[in-house]
Amino acid sequence: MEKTLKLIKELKEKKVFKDFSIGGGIAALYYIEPLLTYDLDIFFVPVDEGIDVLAPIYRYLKEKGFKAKKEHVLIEGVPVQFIPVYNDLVKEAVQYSKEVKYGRIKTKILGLEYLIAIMFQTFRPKDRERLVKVFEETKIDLNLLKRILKKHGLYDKYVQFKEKYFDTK
Amino acid sequence: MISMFNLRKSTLTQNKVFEKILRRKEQRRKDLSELSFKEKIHILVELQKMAKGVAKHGKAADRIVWHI
Repeated sequence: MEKTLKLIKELKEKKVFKDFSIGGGIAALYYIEPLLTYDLDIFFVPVDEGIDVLAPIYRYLKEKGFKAKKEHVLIEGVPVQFIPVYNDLVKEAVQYSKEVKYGRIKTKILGLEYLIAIMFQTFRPKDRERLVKVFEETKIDLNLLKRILKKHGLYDKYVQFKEKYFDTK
Repeated sequence: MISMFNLRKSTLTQNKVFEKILRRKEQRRKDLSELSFKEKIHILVELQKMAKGVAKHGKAADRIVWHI
């Protein structure tokens, strides 16, 4: 995992992409109890807003001996899925992500409140399941969360969710 | 025959036991959530191995267990 994260960091250092952050299940796992997931999702900001924003990443990794298979690249034993920042919320989430350490490697992970907002936006069954755990197990900056949700038009969804699962607003 | 008093007492005791179990479960989840990132990843790999063990067919069987 350290080697994987080191190589992802290298992609930024070599300007293959502008910025990145760990998202998805692994970001959720960082904040809550371990949960089953299979991909390491990396949100990235492309250098150019071209049609094939993944091409530079795959080219660089291919030169290093790592090939893309279906939707991911197996890097040092870990299937990594690179996802370009696809809307303003995700772009902002990457911008304000936090620096964390995995062993000796410094990496970046989505901030808790942004991760929650993205889960409200995608809102798949697994997001709802993770949201329940997040609200039960973590300390959330509610002011920040509400600000993000209101900005991105997700506040009503949050209120409905809290009423349904926690009997409160 | 069970008296109403004993029935109520027994229900109360059961509720207390149940509440205690729930509290412990909650505490266990909180303790797990406070593990280091690295420890959580190691647990994740164990979960992947277990899931692979029970998934014989389909998508789950094709999933990759991380080699870290």
